[in-house]
Parts: sequence; C-alpha cells; structure tokens
Amino acid sequence: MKKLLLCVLVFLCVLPCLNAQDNTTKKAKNKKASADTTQVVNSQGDENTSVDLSEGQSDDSEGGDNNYIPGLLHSSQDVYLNNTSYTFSIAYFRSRGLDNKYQDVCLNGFAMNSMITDRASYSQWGGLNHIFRYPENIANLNLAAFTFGNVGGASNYNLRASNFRRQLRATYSLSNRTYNNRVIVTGATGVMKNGWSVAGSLSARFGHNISYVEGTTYNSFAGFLAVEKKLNEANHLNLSAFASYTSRGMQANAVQEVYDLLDNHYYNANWGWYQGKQRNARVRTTCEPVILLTHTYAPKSNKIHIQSTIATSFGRNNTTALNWYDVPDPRPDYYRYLPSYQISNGDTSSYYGNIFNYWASNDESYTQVNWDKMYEVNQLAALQGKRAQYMVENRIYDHFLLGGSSNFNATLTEHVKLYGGVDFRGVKQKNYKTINDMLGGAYWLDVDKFSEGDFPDDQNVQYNDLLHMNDTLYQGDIFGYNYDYHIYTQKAWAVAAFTYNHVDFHIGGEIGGTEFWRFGHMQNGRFQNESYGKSEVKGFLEGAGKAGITYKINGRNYLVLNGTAVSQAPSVLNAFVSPRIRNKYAENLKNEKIFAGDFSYIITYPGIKMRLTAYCAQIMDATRLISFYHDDYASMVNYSISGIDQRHLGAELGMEIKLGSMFSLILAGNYGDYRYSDRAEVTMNADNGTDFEGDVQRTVYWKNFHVSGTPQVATTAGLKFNYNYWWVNINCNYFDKICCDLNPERRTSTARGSLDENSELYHQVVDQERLKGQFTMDLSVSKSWRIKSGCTIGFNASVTNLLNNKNLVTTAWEQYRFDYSSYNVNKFANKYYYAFGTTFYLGLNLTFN
Amino acid sequence: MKIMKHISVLSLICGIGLFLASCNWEQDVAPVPTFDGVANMTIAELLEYHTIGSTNSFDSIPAGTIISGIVVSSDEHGNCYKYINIEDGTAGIQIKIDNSTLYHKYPLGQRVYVKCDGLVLGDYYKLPQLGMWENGSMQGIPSSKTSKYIFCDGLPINMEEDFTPIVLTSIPTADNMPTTYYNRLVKLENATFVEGGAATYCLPNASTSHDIRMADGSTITMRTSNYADFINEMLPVGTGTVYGILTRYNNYVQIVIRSLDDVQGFVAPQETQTIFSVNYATAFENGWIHGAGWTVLSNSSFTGFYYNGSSADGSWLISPAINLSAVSSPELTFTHRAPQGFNAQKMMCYYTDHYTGDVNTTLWIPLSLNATEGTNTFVNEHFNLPDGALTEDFRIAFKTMGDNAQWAVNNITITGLAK
Repeated sequence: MKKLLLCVLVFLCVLPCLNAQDNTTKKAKNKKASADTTQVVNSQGDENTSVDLSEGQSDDSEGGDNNYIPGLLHSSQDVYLNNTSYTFSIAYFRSRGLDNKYQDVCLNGFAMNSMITDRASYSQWGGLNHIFRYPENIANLNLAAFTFGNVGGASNYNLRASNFRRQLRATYSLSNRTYNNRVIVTGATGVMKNGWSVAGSLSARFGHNISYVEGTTYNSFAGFLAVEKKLNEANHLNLSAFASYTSRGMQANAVQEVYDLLDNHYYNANWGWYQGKQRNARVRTTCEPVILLTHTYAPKSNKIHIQSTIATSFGRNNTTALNWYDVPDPRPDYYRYLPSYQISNGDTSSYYGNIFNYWASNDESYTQVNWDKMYEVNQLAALQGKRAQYMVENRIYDHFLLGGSSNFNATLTEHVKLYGGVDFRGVKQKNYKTINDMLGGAYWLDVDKFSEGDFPDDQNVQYNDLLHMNDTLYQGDIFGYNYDYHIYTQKAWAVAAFTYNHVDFHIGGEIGGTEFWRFGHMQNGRFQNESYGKSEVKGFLEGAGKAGITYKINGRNYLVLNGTAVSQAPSVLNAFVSPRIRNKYAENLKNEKIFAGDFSYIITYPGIKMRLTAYCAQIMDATRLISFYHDDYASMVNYSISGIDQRHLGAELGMEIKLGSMFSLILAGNYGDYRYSDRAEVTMNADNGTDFEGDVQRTVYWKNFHVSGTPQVATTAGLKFNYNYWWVNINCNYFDKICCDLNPERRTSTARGSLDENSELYHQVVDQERLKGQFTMDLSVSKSWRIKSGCTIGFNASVTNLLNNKNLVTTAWEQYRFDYSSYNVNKFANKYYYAFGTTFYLGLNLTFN
Repeated sequence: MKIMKHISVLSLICGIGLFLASCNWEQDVAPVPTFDGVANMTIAELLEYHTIGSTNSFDSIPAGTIISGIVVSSDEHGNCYKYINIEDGTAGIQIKIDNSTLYHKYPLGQRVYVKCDGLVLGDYYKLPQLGMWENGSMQGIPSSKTSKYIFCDGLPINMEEDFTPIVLTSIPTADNMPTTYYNRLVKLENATFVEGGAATYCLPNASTSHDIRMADGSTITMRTSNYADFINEMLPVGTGTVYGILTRYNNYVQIVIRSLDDVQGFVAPQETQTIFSVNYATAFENGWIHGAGWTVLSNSSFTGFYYNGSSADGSWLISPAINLSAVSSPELTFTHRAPQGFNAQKMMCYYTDHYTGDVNTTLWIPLSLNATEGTNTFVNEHFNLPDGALTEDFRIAFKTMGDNAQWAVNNITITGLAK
C-alpha cells in the first residue's frame, strides 16, 4: 500500500517538469532506435546490458484535433517491461502473476509453446544468445502481428538468415550462475548479391567449478544454421535449424530445518560422493532440435506481408532419479532422517543426538546421497542372486511435432489493417522410463512397491505391465510406465485494426480445436482394462476474442484499454486421472476460460516516459493434477483438481526520467493481488489399485488464499548512466507478498476435521505462509571500443544481488504429504528455494563487421 | 487543463489500486465434516449381538448397521492406546484403531458415526470391542481405512457442560455391573486412593493397578499405562471425584483415567503445625504462672510439671498467652498421671480465650479429663478446641485441690492447621 502511494507521490512531483520539458523539446527530432541499441532482455537472464538510445519515439506534433497523432509502438518499447524483466527475474517474478503458459513464444511466427505443457521451452535454443537476442515483444494484451496471442503477451524471434547483418562475432563469458564458461561464435553474410543469406552460430557452455549450488554440473553445446534465398522481389525462402544439447545436475529444494542445520540455503540433496567425484542423482538432459522452413511474401508495395512456416521439433527431454525397492529411502533429507522427526517420534535419546550431529557437522556420508551404500546393498543382493534394490531411473519424454502456420497482415485502407493467420500442428510424445544405472545390482523386476503389500492375494496387482510380468530388466530397459500422448490442434485468427486521428482500435477473434488421446503400451496389473491401448479421443472447441482501444490525447499522452477472452482446451497433462497407467479421463473435463483486461496511461516525453496500468485477469475452470503419498489412505494418490478459479488484480508502473544528458532515473513496480477466487473440486484415486471405493470427491476451501509462484509486490529504483559508450546501471529492488504454494488437501473439510477455528493448530494447518519481503541490489557496466574500422571490442559485466542477501525465497511449497494422525504440520514442513546471493557475469565481445 | 487531465486519469488508476489494496479478503474456511446419514441401531442394541466371554471368536453385525456416539476417551496423555470409546446414552463401546495418535482426529466430545459393515464385535477379557477380525484375532482398524468406517459429525461438544457421565458411589462386582455401563465415562464420587500419597500413578516400565475405595468400602481398580505422561505424579490423598472410562478385565471392574484432569476435588489435608509446646527447663521463666506446690521436675524418668503439696483453695498453673489466631482446628494434647485416690474434683483443666490477670475474674472453660481416678500411670488427653478458642490470648490452666497430691502433667502440645 505504502509503495503504491509512494509511486503516486513521485509521479505527482515529476508532473510539472514534464510539461516544461514538453515545450522546450517540441521541435526535437525523433531519433530512431537502431536494433543494436534496443534494450536486450534475455530470458536466460545472463546478459543484461541495458542500452537505450531512443530519445522518445513520437514526432514533434502535438497538434490540433484534426491532425493525425501516431499510435504507440508496443514492440520492445515498453518502459515497464524493459526496466523490470531482468531485474525482477532474481525473485522468479511473473508478470501479473500469470503462468508463462499464457505467453506465446514464436519463431518466424510459429508458436513454440509445447502442446503438452503449453509453455515454451527456452532450453531448446539455450546458449544461442547471439541469435535469440532481439525478440519482438508484445506486452500483455496488446495487438501482435504474428500471432493472436494469449493474456500473457507474446514474443517473436526472427530467425531468417537475412535478419542477421554481415558480421562475425565472438563472445566469451564467465559466470558463477548456472554455467561458468561460455563461448559463442556467430557469423552471418547478410543478403549477398546472389540473393542468398547465410547465418550460423555455435555455442558451448560448461560449469561445475564455481557453480553456486554444489553438485550442479553443466555441459551444453548448441548450433544454429539459417540459409535464405531471395527468390524474387517479393518471395523469400528460408531454412533455419538449430539444436541445443544441455545436460545439467539439478538442485533440490529442502525444508528449513536442513538449511538451518547446515547454515546453507543452497544445500542440494541430489548429489553424493562417488569415486571421488560429486555425482548428481538428478541429471536433466535435453536435446530437442527444431527445423523451420519459412516462406515470406513481402512485395514492395508493403500493402501485404505473408509469412508461412513449416516446422518440426523433435528430440528428448529426460531426467534421472533414484528408485528403490523395499529398502530405506536413499534421499538424504527424507523426513525420517531429520532430527525433528526423532523428537516428534518421542525419541530424544542418543539416536537423535547422532542424527543431529551428522547434520550439524555436515557428515556428507549422511547429508548427501550415499552412493557407496547403494552399490554395497545391490552387490550383496547380486551375489545372492537377488534383484537390485536401488537404481537410477531415467524419466524420458520423446516428442515429435510437425506443424505449419501462415500469418499475414494487409493494409486495406488508409485507416484499416487486417492481421490474420492459420496454424495446424500435431505432436506425439512418448513418456516412459528406463533403467539408467543398476548401481551394481543384478536385475530389476517391474512391480509396484505400494501395491505389493496391499493385495497379497492378488499377484497380478503388483505388476506394472502384465504383458511382461516376469521379465527381468537390465540397464536401458523400459519399466514402470510407457504411454504416448497424441495431440492435434487447428487454429485460425484475424484481427482488424483501425487508425484514426485520435483513436486507434482493434478487434479480432480466434477459433480452433484441440483433440487428444492417450495410448498405453503397458497393461497395468491394477487397471487391466483401462491401461493398454488407445483411450477415448477428446475434442475441444476453442475460441478467443480480443479488442483494444487507444485514445491519443496528443502525441505524448495516451489512454489504452485492452481486453481479451480466451477459452482453451485443458492441458493433456491434467486430462487423465492417472496418466502414467490409466486411460481414464478426469471428471468434468472442460475448457479453461481466461478473461483479462487492462487500462493504461502512457506518456512519452523526451524527458520522461511512463506507463501506469491497472490490470485484472480472471481464470476459470483451470485444472491441475498432482500425485503424492496420502497418509490417511497410506497410498500414492492422484489428485485431480478442477474448477480452479484465480483472480489477478494489480497495477504496474514503469517510469524513466532523464536527469541531464548522462543520467536517467528508473522507477518501476508492480503491486499485485493474486488469489483463488473460488473453491475447487477434487477427485482423488489411488495408483495402487482398487482399495478406494470409487473415486473420492472433495472440495478445496481456498477462496481468497493467495496464488503462489511470484512475489506479488516487486519494485525497483535504478539509475542509468551513459557517456561515451559507457553504460552503468544500478538498481535497488524490493520484493514482497511472496506466498507459499498451497497443499489443497489441507484446505478440505477432511483435513480441517474437528479443529476449532480459534485453535493454534487450526491456523497451523490452514493458514498460508507468507515469506518476508527482501531487498536486493544489482550493478552492471558495459563499454565498447571501436579498435579500427569494422572491429569492435566490448565487455559487459554485472553483479546481481550486490548485498549478498541470501534470504530471498523464490519458491515455497507446502508438501502434499500431511500428517493426518498427529496433525504435526512440521513433520512434512514447507520446502524452499532461495535466490542466489551475489553472482557475477562477465562477457567479452569481439565483432567484425 | 492538461494537468487536470493528467490528474483525473491518475486518480482513476490510483483509485482502482487503492480499492484493491483496501479490499478485505476473508480467508475461506472449510466446514466441519458432517455425516450424511443416521444411526439405525443403539450401542446397547449392538451389544446384544455379542456374547460376552468369547475372547477368541467374534460376532458379526447385521449388514448396514450404523451406530453413533460421543467420543469419551482420549489418547492425548498416553493412557489410552489405539482405541476410542464412544457412547450414545444407551451403552458404550471401544473401537480399536491401529493408530497411536487419535485425539486430533477423534477429540473428546466428538460425535462420530460408525458404519459397521466390515467390522466385528468381540471382547477382550469380557470388555466389548469393535474392530476387524484378522488372522484369528481382533485387530484395530488400519489407519488407512478409518475413513471408510468412522465419520466425524460437527464440532466436539463441551464435555464439562454438555455431557453427563454415569455417577457411581458404590462398585458392584463385575458381573453385577450393568453391561451397558462398560466403556462409558463414569464419575466416582467420594473416592479415595488406597495408596494416596504413598505411590505414583504408575511404575515407569509396566502398567500399574491402584485401588480406589468408595465411601461404602467397595473398591475399583484404576489401571494406568506406563506410557501416560503423568505416571510420576503422586496419587492424591483424601477423598475426591474420579472420572474415567469404566472397563473390566475378566472379573475385575476397572477405570481408566484420560488425564490428571479426571482426578478432581482431592484436597490434601493441611499440614499440622505445632503451635505450642513447653520447654520445661525454662517454663517458669517463659511466662507460666504457678501457685504453691507446682514445680518443674526434670530427671531421667520424667520431665514436666509436677504438683506436690496440699491446698484446699487450689493451686493454679497457667500457661503464657498462646496465639491461636493463625490456625484452624487446634488440638490440645498432654499426658498426666494422677496419684492413687485422686479424683476429678481434685484436678481440673481449663482454657480461656482471655485472661484478665486474675483467676477469679477470668472466664475459664473446663475440659473434662479422662483420668477420673488416679491409677498412677500416665494417661493421654486429647481435646479438639472449639473455634471460640482461636484468639491471640489463649491460655490453658491446671488447678489442683488436692492435699499431699503428686500430680504430674507432661507433653503439653497444641497443634493446628495453618489457615
């Protein structure tokens, strides 16, 4: 609240000088921002040279009523997004609290959002920062020329070879964030006389020596190649292909007890010593190449522009994990291995003391994965001819996508422009797991550990695949689950945009459809009749509409009102009650609806740029599927949540004020309020079989609880300095209203039970944790020199979290396990990730033109 | 004009912001679970399906049976283990559950409904139980299955205000105790722990029995688990009220308390203080007033006051002022030996609450002595002094009328309870 008032106050103070400046600069010429000097916001977050030479984008006309006033250029010019996107990323800030599945990320106009997760996977082009550098960003609900878009904005990367000017560029980077060393070399020919253009880039990233979190090794290689031929004046054909292979050790979140015992907010339970090296049990490897064949029709008349792309994406995304059978949990921070569990279990004797000491002294044979012990257990079992009891499994997602899109924009009259497009695509994703490493064991049997004990009389129940029930499995063999998703979508969209002297407006719609099904390759012993083969096909009609109006008060003051309504198919990930083993769909599967609107006041004076926006978004009928061990049923359960309604309200302010010729003051912030706006419904069933008398229905009473995943308050105040190609940025940031992700089960009648609403225990069970607000500070410096004609050398360096604040929680979760017997909420305490303390990035660039 | 425009737009947006910030968002509250159904059998009716004494067998329950009751047991303090007791006004039953922490889920006073399909009736050494029959014995309902059988309904009632336990003032034999009383909350009135003040509730490593005696002399066994969190407390002395679950073990009637709150109204007797005792060696220096013939005799056989003389008008021995204002229930004791032939008229004992300084004007209240005829042996005297004696100026006096008498008075003590 105070922060909001502060923003207003600052604005009111600045208001008078604004008009004074307006008069003196009335005749100022507009200097167009060149592509090289636009703000670079890299989604990977490792380059943040903020460079903005534009003195303001409006013409000198402030004019009378009859004069035409130019509209707003949304792309990459948003004063709020430019000044917050990187700065807020340390706190995992999400614009308007919206999941990034509501944001379209396009390459040559072809949306790259996964058809499974709905989110674009930036790792597909990880490392190719020279190429994926200057997206056309459409903020939030604004009109985009390349896609209809969703409520979270859209961006498009132009990957045509002709888009890269003739240049050879090399970058070396040193950092202690995700990787340590990076090399990128990029060359482009520009458009040659014969009409061909070629561009290519190679990149490598390595890291484990100075990584911030122990055990997170990093290896990545990427390549990009684009070839374009100008067929004639109007037609261009381009082929772009790229791939990025990345393999990295993952970080695990942990409970506060562990962080406190080790006095380390970056403790990583995933690794352990093995043969003198840190070995991570959770290694994610991705390699999902993309090939895009793009045809562009752009006649000289400029009246029409059509871009069509046929695209394919394929490859693998896999993550290893520990698996075990009938032996103690090998994860070192499993709740039973913590001192608090011994106490809650009534044991404060020497056993507790020993365990406390292991942690307090960080005995890594106890506090990290004990590989040797697992090998020992397995080898002993192997000597006796018994099955392996520990192993590393590999959870694999292989996808193949083929699709095409065609987008056009046409100038119909002086006042009317038409945008539109079609998009067809299909994907097949195989989901299965294999034995990655037997850890010295002899063989594996594919039985379910949770089912075996429950149904001693029904032997079939324990087998994950009745078609291969007695197979002994070895490294590389598929086990556990094996199924495919098939998804097809079709879309067509059109938006008409109208431009008049004082008013610009647009209106448009999209219509489409999605069909999907599951195909099981295993006949699961618990669900023999609904696990193998093809499921029923579900189809969903989708639609969206959007409209916006800009009232141009004058060339420097604008009022903008936008609205979007979307009805989209539920994600296939949430469509099945137990997708790993069953073809059964969740109840009440229906479209998710999103309504969003915003109202902005934008000013663009040479001395001050500002956007102030109030926004709202209402999400309805969203779905989610979670799986966890339910202590009341002593079983793994699938928890299918439907009817999730969220209301996101808030205001954004972005302001950049020139202070003389060298300095600019940045003020930007978001005050949001994101809550569940209604109760949700849950259908619960058990993975381990038939013990439930049908599915269990529950209502989740979480109305007005906060939606998590982002600080709802984020502000920054910064100073930019720019003189003689020196760029210095310093920012002070504050993040607040960071809320813990809810365990829906704890907001049900069942969990609440007979607890008195005024009792301490009730509040322990039901109340949502809110983390403390935190300050951070960032500094970045960059400079470039022209050595001789055509050769430029430069560097950029940045230090993030200068004050080394290690208490900023980026993500907090309530564990889904809940102690139904003793209602001890600390037994399965909340888990946290903390933002890194001080980190640095140093990049050296050499460019030959 | 332009500024007005700026301000109006700004105030609109800020207004929206302020509105958002000031909204009062009440946190959702999940309703207390309720049971959608009714009980179709009382617990008393249910018990009729079982023949007591069949320890190794069970009786089935008619299909579709639903019973209901109020939870009267609690494992919060560790004295009940893996069961709850419910009662419905007709009878009570113990439900075995394989879970050691049940008091959050089934708190005291909670109404629960039990769907009995899949459960069986049996008894443990004649105490009726509801549970599951597995591998030839009665087992608790697994905690993962309780949600299928036991349903909470509403918030717990206030046991003190809204629940009336059965009051017992006398304990019949186990077979004469009504079957419908077992497994219910009972209130023992005027109960006394036989080992009150002499034993703890339970030994550290074994369940322990202690007898409770009722006013009529009948007894009941209090059974306490060594896992209870109050085992090291002393059993109270005196008489009070004991609440607990009435159980039986074969032919013993037993009671299981749920916490120390179940033991009420036991007031430990106040500590007896010695208000006055005589130091004979310095007695006459310390304010004793004595007539002729009274001396203090101190030798190996006797230390005390001794009269040896003759006085027709009587000779007085008067104590110094004794402050009894800070005590209650004062008691006076002493021993004395009257000589042969010395009758009551010749030795008298008095007290007064105010001594005027003159024996004749002081109002003396006589105490009647036991030794009416001297036997030449020491006799104990004991007097409960009335409340009227509780002044700061209390005195006792001995007067003899004898001649050649040898009256010995010894061990004069006044005790009282601290107020």
